[in-house]
Amino acid sequence: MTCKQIIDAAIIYVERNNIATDETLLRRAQILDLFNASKAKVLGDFRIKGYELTGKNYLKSVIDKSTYEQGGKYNYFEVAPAIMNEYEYVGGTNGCSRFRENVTISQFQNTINQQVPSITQYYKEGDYLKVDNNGVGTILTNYVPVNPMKVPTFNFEYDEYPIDDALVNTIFDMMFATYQSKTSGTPKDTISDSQDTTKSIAK
Amino acid sequence: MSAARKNYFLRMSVVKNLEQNYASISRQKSVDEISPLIKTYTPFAPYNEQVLLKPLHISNIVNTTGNTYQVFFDRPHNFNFGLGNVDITFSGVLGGTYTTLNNQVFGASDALTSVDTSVLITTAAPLSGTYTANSGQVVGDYWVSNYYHLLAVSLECLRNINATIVKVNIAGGCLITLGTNNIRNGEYLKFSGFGGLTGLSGYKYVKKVGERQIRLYNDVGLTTPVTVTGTYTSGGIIERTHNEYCEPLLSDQKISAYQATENFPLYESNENRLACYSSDVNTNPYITNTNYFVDYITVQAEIDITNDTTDLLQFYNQEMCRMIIEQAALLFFATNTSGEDVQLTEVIK
Repeated sequence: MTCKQIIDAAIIYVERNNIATDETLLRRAQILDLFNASKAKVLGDFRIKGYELTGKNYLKSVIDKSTYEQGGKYNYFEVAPAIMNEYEYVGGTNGCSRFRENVTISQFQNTINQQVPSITQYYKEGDYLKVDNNGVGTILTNYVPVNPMKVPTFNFEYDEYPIDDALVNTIFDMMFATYQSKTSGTPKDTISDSQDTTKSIAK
Repeated sequence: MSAARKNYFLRMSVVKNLEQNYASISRQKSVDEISPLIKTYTPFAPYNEQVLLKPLHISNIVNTTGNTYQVFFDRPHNFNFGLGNVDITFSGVLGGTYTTLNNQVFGASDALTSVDTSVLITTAAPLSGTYTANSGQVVGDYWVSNYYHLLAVSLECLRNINATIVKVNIAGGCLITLGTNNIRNGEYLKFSGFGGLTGLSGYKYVKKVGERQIRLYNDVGLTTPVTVTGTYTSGGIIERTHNEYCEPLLSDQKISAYQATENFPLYESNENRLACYSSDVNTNPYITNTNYFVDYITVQAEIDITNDTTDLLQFYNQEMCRMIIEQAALLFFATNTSGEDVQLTEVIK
Protein backbone atom coordinates (compact mmCIF):
# COMPACT_ATOMS: atom_id res chain seq x y z
CA MET A 1 0.00 0.00 0.00
CA THR A 2 1.22 3.49 -0.82
CA CYS A 3 0.85 6.38 1.64
CA LYS A 4 -2.26 7.55 -0.22
CA GLN A 5 -3.81 4.09 0.03
CA ILE A 6 -3.05 3.97 3.76
CA ILE A 7 -4.84 7.31 4.22
CA ASP A 8 -7.84 6.21 2.14
CA ALA A 9 -8.04 2.96 4.09
CA ALA A 10 -7.98 4.92 7.38
CA ILE A 11 -10.83 7.15 6.17
CA ILE A 12 -12.89 4.08 5.23
CA TYR A 13 -12.11 2.57 8.65
CA VAL A 14 -13.40 5.76 10.32
CA GLU A 15 -16.58 5.76 8.24
CA ARG A 16 -17.33 2.06 8.65
CA ASN A 17 -16.84 2.17 12.40
CA ASN A 18 -18.88 5.36 12.80
CA ILE A 19 -16.03 6.98 14.65
CA ALA A 20 -16.76 10.51 15.78
CA THR A 21 -14.08 12.75 14.34
CA ASP A 22 -13.84 16.41 13.61
CA GLU A 23 -12.52 18.00 10.43
CA THR A 24 -9.13 18.54 12.02
CA LEU A 25 -8.50 14.83 12.32
CA LEU A 26 -9.60 14.24 8.78
CA ARG A 27 -6.77 16.33 7.33
CA ARG A 28 -4.95 13.73 5.26
CA ALA A 29 -1.50 14.75 6.47
CA GLN A 30 -2.66 14.32 10.06
CA ILE A 31 -4.14 10.90 9.40
CA LEU A 32 -0.79 9.76 8.01
CA ASP A 33 1.04 11.24 10.99
CA LEU A 34 -1.32 9.51 13.40
CA PHE A 35 -0.73 6.26 11.51
CA ASN A 36 3.04 6.76 11.83
CA ALA A 37 2.79 7.34 15.58
CA SER A 38 0.53 4.35 16.13
CA LYS A 39 2.80 2.18 13.99
CA ALA A 40 5.75 3.25 16.15
CA LYS A 41 3.81 2.19 19.26
CA VAL A 42 2.72 -1.18 17.82
CA LEU A 43 6.12 -2.10 16.38
CA GLY A 44 7.94 -0.71 19.42
CA ASP A 45 5.86 -3.00 21.67
CA PHE A 46 6.74 -5.92 19.40
CA ARG A 47 10.43 -5.19 19.75
CA ILE A 48 10.15 -4.85 23.54
CA LYS A 49 8.48 -8.27 23.64
CA GLY A 50 11.32 -9.62 21.54
CA TYR A 51 9.35 -10.30 18.36
CA GLU A 52 11.21 -10.16 15.06
CA LEU A 53 9.87 -7.58 12.61
CA THR A 54 9.37 -8.85 9.08
CA GLY A 55 11.40 -7.36 6.25
CA LYS A 56 8.41 -5.52 4.84
CA ASN A 57 8.54 -3.07 7.74
CA TYR A 58 12.06 -2.01 6.82
CA LEU A 59 13.16 0.63 4.38
CA LYS A 60 16.52 0.45 2.66
CA SER A 61 18.08 3.74 1.79
CA VAL A 62 21.34 4.73 0.07
CA ILE A 63 22.51 8.09 1.37
CA ASP A 64 25.48 10.36 0.82
CA LYS A 65 27.40 11.98 3.65
CA SER A 66 26.02 15.26 4.87
CA THR A 67 27.76 18.60 4.68
CA TYR A 68 28.05 18.67 8.46
CA GLU A 69 31.15 18.85 10.68
CA GLN A 70 33.34 18.11 7.69
CA GLY A 71 37.12 17.97 7.81
CA GLY A 72 37.47 15.69 10.85
CA LYS A 73 38.04 11.96 11.03
CA TYR A 74 34.28 11.23 11.04
CA ASN A 75 31.60 11.45 8.40
CA TYR A 76 28.00 12.29 9.26
CA PHE A 77 24.93 10.86 7.51
CA GLU A 78 21.51 12.39 8.08
CA VAL A 79 18.88 9.76 8.88
CA ALA A 80 15.23 9.82 9.86
CA PRO A 81 14.06 8.66 13.30
CA ALA A 82 13.78 4.87 13.53
CA ILE A 83 11.57 2.65 15.65
CA MET A 84 13.40 2.01 18.94
CA ASN A 85 16.30 4.00 17.46
CA GLU A 86 17.56 0.83 15.77
CA TYR A 87 19.53 1.05 12.55
CA GLU A 88 19.85 -2.60 11.74
CA TYR A 89 22.38 -2.51 8.96
CA VAL A 90 24.67 0.32 7.99
CA GLY A 91 27.30 -0.48 5.42
CA GLY A 92 29.25 1.03 2.58
CA THR A 93 27.67 0.64 -0.81
CA ASN A 94 30.58 -1.39 -2.13
CA GLY A 95 29.05 -4.43 -0.42
CA CYS A 96 32.06 -5.48 1.62
CA SER A 97 32.34 -2.89 4.37
CA ARG A 98 31.82 -4.02 7.94
CA PHE A 99 30.18 -1.72 10.45
CA ARG A 100 29.55 -2.06 14.17
CA GLU A 101 26.78 -0.17 15.95
CA ASN A 102 27.49 1.56 19.25
CA VAL A 103 24.61 2.46 21.50
CA THR A 104 26.40 4.87 23.83
CA ILE A 105 29.04 7.52 23.19
CA SER A 106 31.44 5.83 25.67
CA GLN A 107 31.01 2.53 23.84
CA PHE A 108 31.76 4.37 20.61
CA GLN A 109 34.91 5.98 22.03
CA ASN A 110 36.08 2.79 23.72
CA THR A 111 35.86 0.65 20.61
CA ILE A 112 37.64 3.32 18.57
CA ASN A 113 40.38 3.53 21.21
CA GLN A 114 40.72 -0.25 21.17
CA GLN A 115 41.86 0.03 17.57
CA VAL A 116 39.60 -2.27 15.60
CA PRO A 117 40.66 -1.06 12.19
CA SER A 118 38.78 -3.55 10.05
CA ILE A 119 35.37 -2.66 11.51
CA THR A 120 34.03 0.85 11.08
CA GLN A 121 32.20 2.09 14.15
CA TYR A 122 29.04 4.18 13.99
CA TYR A 123 26.96 5.96 16.57
CA LYS A 124 23.61 7.79 16.41
CA GLU A 125 24.06 11.45 17.30
CA GLY A 126 20.97 13.62 16.97
CA ASP A 127 19.70 13.41 13.40
CA TYR A 128 22.98 11.91 12.20
CA LEU A 129 24.84 8.65 12.09
CA LYS A 130 28.41 9.48 13.06
CA VAL A 131 30.71 7.09 11.18
CA ASP A 132 34.30 6.58 12.25
CA ASN A 133 35.76 6.65 8.74
CA ASN A 134 35.91 9.81 6.68
CA GLY A 135 36.64 7.70 3.60
CA VAL A 136 33.08 6.34 3.55
CA GLY A 137 31.08 8.76 1.41
CA THR A 138 27.93 6.73 0.82
CA ILE A 139 26.21 4.17 3.05
CA LEU A 140 23.31 1.77 2.80
CA THR A 141 20.96 1.95 5.77
CA ASN A 142 18.15 -0.42 6.65
CA TYR A 143 15.70 0.50 9.38
CA VAL A 144 12.05 0.85 10.33
CA PRO A 145 11.39 4.57 9.98
CA VAL A 146 8.83 6.24 12.20
CA ASN A 147 7.80 8.42 9.27
CA PRO A 148 9.00 7.16 5.86
CA MET A 149 8.35 10.58 4.31
CA LYS A 150 11.28 11.88 6.34
CA VAL A 151 13.60 9.45 4.56
CA PRO A 152 15.16 11.39 1.67
CA THR A 153 15.06 8.42 -0.69
CA PHE A 154 11.37 7.63 -0.11
CA ASN A 155 9.05 8.43 -3.02
CA PHE A 156 5.56 9.38 -1.86
CA GLU A 157 3.91 8.60 -5.21
CA TYR A 158 5.63 5.38 -6.19
CA ASP A 159 6.86 3.60 -3.06
CA GLU A 160 4.96 1.18 -0.91
CA TYR A 161 4.60 2.34 2.69
CA PRO A 162 7.03 0.11 4.64
CA ILE A 163 4.56 -1.83 6.76
CA ASP A 164 3.54 -5.46 6.87
CA ASP A 165 -0.03 -5.56 5.50
CA ALA A 166 -1.05 -7.89 8.34
CA LEU A 167 -0.43 -5.07 10.84
CA VAL A 168 -2.48 -2.35 9.18
CA ASN A 169 -5.75 -3.14 10.95
CA THR A 170 -4.01 -3.45 14.32
CA ILE A 171 -2.53 0.00 13.79
CA PHE A 172 -5.92 1.43 12.79
CA ASP A 173 -7.40 -0.01 16.00
CA MET A 174 -4.63 1.70 17.95
CA MET A 175 -5.09 4.97 16.02
CA PHE A 176 -8.76 5.35 16.82
CA ALA A 177 -8.89 3.62 20.20
CA THR A 178 -9.47 6.92 21.97
CA TYR A 179 -12.09 8.20 19.52
CA GLN A 180 -15.69 7.45 20.43
CA SER A 181 -18.20 5.93 18.11
CA LYS A 182 -20.89 8.30 16.88
CA THR A 183 -23.55 5.70 17.68
CA SER A 184 -23.96 4.55 21.26
CA GLY A 185 -24.98 0.97 21.81
CA THR A 186 -28.55 0.34 22.99
CA PRO A 187 -28.74 -1.68 26.24
CA LYS A 188 -30.23 -5.06 25.52
CA ASP A 189 -33.11 -6.42 27.58
CA THR A 190 -32.56 -10.10 26.93
CA ILE A 191 -34.45 -11.54 29.91
CA SER A 192 -38.19 -12.08 29.49
CA ASP A 193 -39.22 -11.08 33.03
CA SER A 194 -41.31 -7.96 32.33
CA GLN A 195 -38.46 -5.91 33.80
CA ASP A 196 -35.59 -4.05 32.20
CA THR A 197 -32.26 -5.77 32.70
CA THR A 198 -30.67 -2.33 32.84
CA LYS A 199 -31.68 0.10 35.57
CA SER A 200 -33.35 3.26 34.37
CA ILE A 201 -32.25 6.60 35.81
CA ALA A 202 -35.76 7.24 37.17
CA LYS A 203 -35.71 4.19 39.42
CA MET B 1 -42.88 35.89 0.19
CA SER B 2 -40.57 38.39 -1.50
CA ALA B 3 -38.81 37.60 -4.77
CA ALA B 4 -35.43 37.91 -3.02
CA ARG B 5 -36.47 35.33 -0.44
CA LYS B 6 -37.75 32.95 -3.13
CA ASN B 7 -34.46 33.36 -4.97
CA TYR B 8 -32.58 32.66 -1.76
CA PHE B 9 -34.34 29.35 -1.15
CA LEU B 10 -33.93 28.30 -4.79
CA ARG B 11 -30.23 29.20 -4.74
CA MET B 12 -29.69 27.18 -1.57
CA SER B 13 -31.63 24.28 -3.03
CA VAL B 14 -29.72 24.31 -6.33
CA VAL B 15 -26.33 24.35 -4.61
CA LYS B 16 -27.34 21.64 -2.14
CA ASN B 17 -28.65 19.39 -4.91
CA LEU B 18 -25.63 19.94 -7.14
CA GLU B 19 -23.24 19.26 -4.27
CA GLN B 20 -25.09 16.05 -3.39
CA ASN B 21 -24.95 14.90 -6.99
CA TYR B 22 -21.30 15.90 -7.38
CA ALA B 23 -20.42 13.82 -4.34
CA SER B 24 -21.81 10.75 -6.11
CA ILE B 25 -20.81 11.70 -9.62
CA SER B 26 -19.76 8.15 -10.45
CA ARG B 27 -23.41 7.27 -10.80
CA GLN B 28 -24.68 8.02 -14.30
CA LYS B 29 -27.90 9.51 -12.91
CA SER B 30 -25.89 12.17 -11.10
CA VAL B 31 -23.81 12.94 -14.17
CA ASP B 32 -26.92 13.40 -16.28
CA GLU B 33 -28.44 15.76 -13.77
CA ILE B 34 -25.57 18.11 -13.26
CA SER B 35 -23.32 17.89 -16.31
CA PRO B 36 -24.75 21.02 -18.02
CA LEU B 37 -24.26 23.01 -14.82
CA ILE B 38 -20.77 22.19 -13.64
CA LYS B 39 -17.28 22.32 -15.07
CA THR B 40 -14.66 19.89 -13.90
CA TYR B 41 -10.89 19.90 -14.06
CA THR B 42 -10.83 23.32 -15.74
CA PRO B 43 -7.24 24.64 -15.77
CA PHE B 44 -6.36 28.15 -14.65
CA ALA B 45 -2.81 29.50 -14.37
CA PRO B 46 -2.33 31.36 -11.08
CA TYR B 47 -0.79 34.81 -11.02
CA ASN B 48 0.30 36.41 -7.75
CA GLU B 49 -0.47 32.96 -6.28
CA GLN B 50 -4.20 33.34 -6.93
CA VAL B 51 -6.95 33.00 -9.50
CA LEU B 52 -9.85 35.45 -9.56
CA LEU B 53 -13.41 34.26 -9.27
CA LYS B 54 -16.48 35.91 -10.80
CA PRO B 55 -16.51 38.69 -13.44
CA LEU B 56 -14.73 42.00 -12.91
CA HIS B 57 -17.25 44.79 -12.50
CA ILE B 58 -16.51 48.06 -14.29
CA SER B 59 -16.71 51.20 -12.19
CA ASN B 60 -15.65 53.78 -14.80
CA ILE B 61 -14.41 54.18 -18.39
CA VAL B 62 -12.28 57.25 -19.19
CA ASN B 63 -10.90 58.41 -22.54
CA THR B 64 -7.14 58.95 -22.17
CA THR B 65 -6.06 59.80 -25.72
CA GLY B 66 -7.45 59.19 -29.23
CA ASN B 67 -9.30 55.89 -29.23
CA THR B 68 -7.60 54.64 -26.07
CA TYR B 69 -9.80 54.18 -23.00
CA GLN B 70 -8.90 53.37 -19.44
CA VAL B 71 -11.30 50.88 -17.89
CA PHE B 72 -11.50 50.95 -14.08
CA PHE B 73 -12.64 47.95 -12.04
CA ASP B 74 -14.13 47.64 -8.59
CA ARG B 75 -11.15 45.54 -7.37
CA PRO B 76 -7.61 44.59 -8.43
CA HIS B 77 -7.71 42.70 -11.74
CA ASN B 78 -4.65 40.49 -11.10
CA PHE B 79 -3.80 40.34 -14.84
CA ASN B 80 -0.40 39.01 -15.84
CA PHE B 81 0.80 41.35 -18.59
CA GLY B 82 4.17 39.62 -18.61
CA LEU B 83 2.82 37.36 -21.35
CA GLY B 84 1.39 40.27 -23.43
CA ASN B 85 -2.11 41.68 -23.67
CA VAL B 86 -4.98 39.92 -21.93
CA ASP B 87 -8.22 39.32 -23.87
CA ILE B 88 -11.35 40.55 -22.11
CA THR B 89 -14.99 40.52 -23.24
CA PHE B 90 -17.41 43.30 -22.23
CA SER B 91 -21.06 42.92 -21.29
CA GLY B 92 -23.75 45.03 -19.67
CA VAL B 93 -22.09 48.39 -20.41
CA LEU B 94 -24.59 51.29 -20.55
CA GLY B 95 -24.50 54.89 -21.82
CA GLY B 96 -24.02 56.46 -25.27
CA THR B 97 -22.07 54.43 -27.80
CA TYR B 98 -20.23 52.74 -24.93
CA THR B 99 -22.80 49.99 -25.43
CA THR B 100 -20.90 49.01 -28.61
CA LEU B 101 -18.24 47.54 -26.33
CA ASN B 102 -20.65 44.81 -25.28
CA ASN B 103 -19.84 41.30 -26.54
CA GLN B 104 -16.59 42.54 -28.09
CA VAL B 105 -13.16 41.13 -27.27
CA PHE B 106 -10.34 43.60 -26.58
CA GLY B 107 -6.68 42.93 -25.88
CA ALA B 108 -6.25 44.82 -22.64
CA SER B 109 -2.85 46.30 -21.83
CA ASP B 110 -1.24 47.56 -18.64
CA ALA B 111 -2.41 51.01 -17.53
CA LEU B 112 0.10 53.65 -16.49
CA THR B 113 -1.95 54.80 -13.52
CA SER B 114 -4.07 52.73 -11.14
CA VAL B 115 -2.29 49.73 -12.62
CA ASP B 116 -3.82 47.22 -10.24
CA THR B 117 -7.41 48.24 -10.82
CA SER B 118 -7.54 49.42 -14.45
CA VAL B 119 -6.50 48.47 -17.98
CA LEU B 120 -6.18 50.23 -21.34
CA ILE B 121 -8.16 49.24 -24.44
CA THR B 122 -8.14 50.72 -27.93
CA THR B 123 -11.41 50.91 -29.87
CA ALA B 124 -11.87 51.08 -33.65
CA ALA B 125 -13.76 54.38 -33.37
CA PRO B 126 -14.21 57.03 -30.67
CA LEU B 127 -16.99 56.43 -28.16
CA SER B 128 -19.57 59.17 -27.72
CA GLY B 129 -22.15 60.03 -25.09
CA THR B 130 -21.69 59.46 -21.36
CA TYR B 131 -20.79 56.15 -19.81
CA THR B 132 -23.20 55.10 -17.05
CA ALA B 133 -21.01 54.70 -13.97
CA ASN B 134 -20.78 51.23 -12.41
CA SER B 135 -22.41 49.50 -15.38
CA GLY B 136 -21.02 46.44 -17.12
CA GLN B 137 -18.43 43.80 -16.45
CA VAL B 138 -15.64 41.96 -18.22
CA VAL B 139 -15.03 38.25 -18.45
CA GLY B 140 -12.24 36.14 -19.93
CA ASP B 141 -10.57 32.76 -19.93
CA TYR B 142 -7.91 34.15 -17.62
CA TRP B 143 -9.99 33.70 -14.49
CA VAL B 144 -13.10 31.78 -13.42
CA SER B 145 -15.59 34.20 -14.95
CA ASN B 146 -18.66 31.96 -14.89
CA TYR B 147 -18.05 30.85 -11.31
CA TYR B 148 -21.06 30.26 -9.07
CA HIS B 149 -19.97 27.79 -6.38
CA LEU B 150 -16.73 25.93 -5.72
CA LEU B 151 -16.79 22.14 -5.63
CA ALA B 152 -13.13 21.08 -5.58
CA VAL B 153 -9.71 22.25 -6.68
CA SER B 154 -6.48 20.42 -7.37
CA LEU B 155 -3.07 22.05 -7.45
CA GLU B 156 -0.34 21.23 -9.94
CA CYS B 157 3.13 22.28 -8.84
CA LEU B 158 6.75 21.68 -9.70
CA ARG B 159 9.06 20.58 -6.90
CA ASN B 160 12.83 20.81 -7.22
CA ILE B 161 14.07 17.45 -5.90
CA ASN B 162 17.35 19.09 -4.83
CA ALA B 163 19.55 16.26 -6.06
CA THR B 164 23.27 16.89 -6.32
CA ILE B 165 24.46 16.44 -9.91
CA VAL B 166 27.77 14.58 -9.73
CA LYS B 167 28.42 14.19 -13.45
CA VAL B 168 26.72 13.88 -16.84
CA ASN B 169 27.91 11.39 -19.42
CA ILE B 170 26.47 12.03 -22.89
CA ALA B 171 28.00 9.07 -24.71
CA GLY B 172 25.35 6.59 -25.91
CA GLY B 173 22.44 8.62 -24.53
CA CYS B 174 22.44 10.75 -21.44
CA LEU B 175 23.59 9.18 -18.18
CA ILE B 176 23.39 11.36 -15.06
CA THR B 177 25.11 10.46 -11.80
CA LEU B 178 23.34 11.93 -8.78
CA GLY B 179 23.66 12.22 -5.04
CA THR B 180 20.97 11.02 -2.62
CA ASN B 181 17.66 10.98 -4.50
CA ASN B 182 14.18 9.45 -4.58
CA ILE B 183 13.79 9.15 -8.35
CA ARG B 184 11.94 6.05 -9.57
CA ASN B 185 11.99 4.13 -12.84
CA GLY B 186 9.64 5.57 -15.47
CA GLU B 187 9.16 8.97 -13.87
CA TYR B 188 8.57 11.97 -16.16
CA LEU B 189 10.77 14.74 -14.80
CA LYS B 190 11.67 18.26 -15.87
CA PHE B 191 15.34 19.10 -16.47
CA SER B 192 16.85 22.57 -16.72
CA GLY B 193 20.01 24.57 -16.06
CA PHE B 194 22.59 21.94 -17.02
CA GLY B 195 25.58 24.09 -17.95
CA GLY B 196 27.44 23.39 -21.20
CA LEU B 197 24.85 20.94 -22.56
CA THR B 198 22.33 21.25 -25.39
CA GLY B 199 19.28 18.99 -25.52
CA LEU B 200 19.04 18.41 -21.79
CA SER B 201 16.02 20.59 -21.02
CA GLY B 202 12.29 20.08 -20.60
CA TYR B 203 10.48 16.90 -19.65
CA LYS B 204 12.21 13.50 -20.07
CA TYR B 205 11.43 9.93 -19.07
CA VAL B 206 13.83 8.41 -16.59
CA LYS B 207 15.26 4.92 -16.41
CA LYS B 208 16.97 4.20 -13.14
CA VAL B 209 20.08 2.17 -13.87
CA GLY B 210 21.56 2.37 -10.38
CA GLU B 211 20.79 3.79 -6.96
CA ARG B 212 22.50 7.02 -8.01
CA GLN B 213 22.39 6.84 -11.80
CA ILE B 214 19.60 7.63 -14.27
CA ARG B 215 19.41 7.43 -18.05
CA LEU B 216 17.06 9.75 -19.97
CA TYR B 217 14.60 8.80 -22.73
CA ASN B 218 12.17 10.65 -24.99
CA ASP B 219 9.42 8.01 -24.86
CA VAL B 220 7.45 6.32 -22.12
CA GLY B 221 8.61 2.92 -23.33
CA LEU B 222 12.20 3.97 -22.54
CA THR B 223 13.47 2.98 -25.99
CA THR B 224 14.59 6.30 -27.57
CA PRO B 225 17.51 7.79 -25.63
CA VAL B 226 17.78 11.55 -25.31
CA THR B 227 20.50 13.04 -27.53
CA VAL B 228 22.62 15.58 -25.70
CA THR B 229 25.62 17.49 -27.04
CA GLY B 230 28.35 19.57 -25.39
CA THR B 231 30.42 19.16 -22.25
CA TYR B 232 28.81 19.38 -18.83
CA THR B 233 30.19 22.21 -16.74
CA SER B 234 28.01 22.74 -13.69
CA GLY B 235 24.49 23.19 -12.36
CA GLY B 236 21.35 21.30 -13.21
CA ILE B 237 17.86 21.27 -11.74
CA ILE B 238 15.52 18.28 -11.73
CA GLU B 239 11.88 18.95 -10.93
CA ARG B 240 8.94 16.64 -10.29
CA THR B 241 5.32 17.52 -11.10
CA HIS B 242 2.82 17.00 -8.30
CA ASN B 243 -0.92 17.21 -8.83
CA GLU B 244 -3.08 16.70 -5.77
CA TYR B 245 -6.58 17.73 -4.76
CA CYS B 246 -6.54 20.40 -2.06
CA GLU B 247 -8.14 20.37 1.34
CA PRO B 248 -9.62 23.61 2.70
CA LEU B 249 -7.35 25.86 4.74
CA LEU B 250 -9.73 26.67 7.55
CA SER B 251 -9.16 29.90 9.44
CA ASP B 252 -8.93 28.18 12.81
CA GLN B 253 -6.33 25.76 11.42
CA LYS B 254 -3.90 28.35 10.09
CA ILE B 255 -1.96 28.01 13.31
CA SER B 256 -1.72 24.25 12.82
CA ALA B 257 1.66 22.58 12.46
CA TYR B 258 0.21 20.76 9.46
CA GLN B 259 0.95 23.37 6.85
CA ALA B 260 0.44 22.72 3.15
CA THR B 261 2.95 20.57 1.29
CA GLU B 262 3.19 19.51 -2.34
CA ASN B 263 1.65 16.17 -1.31
CA PHE B 264 -1.03 17.71 0.91
CA PRO B 265 -1.93 21.09 -0.61
CA LEU B 266 -4.54 23.41 0.88
CA TYR B 267 -6.80 26.10 -0.59
CA GLU B 268 -8.77 29.09 0.57
CA SER B 269 -11.37 31.13 -1.23
CA ASN B 270 -12.31 34.63 -0.17
CA GLU B 271 -12.70 38.14 -1.60
CA ASN B 272 -13.57 36.62 -4.99
CA ARG B 273 -10.20 34.93 -5.23
CA LEU B 274 -9.00 31.36 -5.03
CA ALA B 275 -5.56 30.67 -3.59
CA CYS B 276 -3.88 27.28 -3.35
CA TYR B 277 -0.88 26.53 -1.16
CA SER B 278 1.86 23.93 -1.62
CA SER B 279 3.85 25.21 1.35
CA ASP B 280 3.27 27.59 4.23
CA VAL B 281 1.89 30.70 2.44
CA ASN B 282 3.75 29.41 -0.67
CA THR B 283 7.10 30.49 0.73
CA ASN B 284 9.08 27.35 -0.20
CA PRO B 285 11.52 28.54 -2.91
CA TYR B 286 11.84 25.00 -4.31
CA ILE B 287 8.14 24.73 -5.24
CA THR B 288 6.40 26.57 -8.09
CA ASN B 289 2.62 26.40 -8.43
CA THR B 290 1.79 26.02 -12.12
CA ASN B 291 -1.92 25.31 -12.47
CA TYR B 292 -5.18 25.12 -10.58
CA PHE B 293 -7.70 22.56 -11.83
CA VAL B 294 -11.08 23.74 -10.63
CA ASP B 295 -14.38 21.86 -10.35
CA TYR B 296 -17.18 24.37 -9.94
CA ILE B 297 -20.85 25.11 -10.47
CA THR B 298 -21.30 27.66 -13.27
CA VAL B 299 -23.57 30.70 -13.26
CA GLN B 300 -25.79 28.68 -15.59
CA ALA B 301 -27.16 27.03 -12.44
CA GLU B 302 -28.64 30.29 -11.16
CA ILE B 303 -32.43 30.37 -11.40
CA ASP B 304 -34.05 33.75 -11.86
CA ILE B 305 -37.65 33.52 -10.69
CA THR B 306 -38.57 36.68 -12.62
CA ASN B 307 -37.51 35.07 -15.91
CA ASP B 308 -40.56 33.49 -17.54
CA THR B 309 -38.99 32.94 -20.95
CA THR B 310 -36.08 30.56 -20.32
CA ASP B 311 -37.05 26.90 -20.20
CA LEU B 312 -35.27 25.41 -17.18
CA LEU B 313 -35.43 21.98 -18.78
CA GLN B 314 -32.69 23.15 -21.13
CA PHE B 315 -30.31 23.00 -18.18
CA TYR B 316 -32.00 20.82 -15.57
CA ASN B 317 -33.60 17.48 -16.28
CA GLN B 318 -37.12 16.80 -15.03
CA GLU B 319 -36.01 14.88 -11.95
CA MET B 320 -33.54 17.59 -10.97
CA CYS B 321 -36.26 20.27 -11.24
CA ARG B 322 -38.51 18.25 -8.95
CA MET B 323 -35.70 17.78 -6.44
CA ILE B 324 -34.86 21.49 -6.43
CA ILE B 325 -38.48 22.45 -5.73
CA GLU B 326 -38.72 19.81 -3.00
CA GLN B 327 -35.46 20.90 -1.39
CA ALA B 328 -36.46 24.59 -1.56
CA ALA B 329 -39.74 23.75 0.19
CA LEU B 330 -37.89 21.85 2.91
CA LEU B 331 -35.51 24.77 3.41
CA PHE B 332 -38.48 27.13 3.62
CA PHE B 333 -40.16 25.08 6.35
CA ALA B 334 -36.86 24.59 8.16
CA THR B 335 -36.48 28.34 8.55
CA ASN B 336 -40.16 29.23 9.07
CA THR B 337 -41.60 27.32 11.98
CA SER B 338 -44.37 29.52 13.35
CA GLY B 339 -47.96 29.39 12.10
CA GLU B 340 -47.82 33.06 11.25
CA ASP B 341 -44.91 32.49 8.92
CA VAL B 342 -46.49 29.55 7.15
CA GLN B 343 -49.87 30.24 5.64
CA LEU B 344 -51.24 27.61 3.34
CA THR B 345 -53.53 28.66 0.57
CA GLU B 346 -56.31 26.30 -0.33
CA VAL B 347 -55.90 24.85 -3.77
CA ILE B 348 -58.76 25.82 -6.03
CA LYS B 349 -59.69 22.92 -8.25
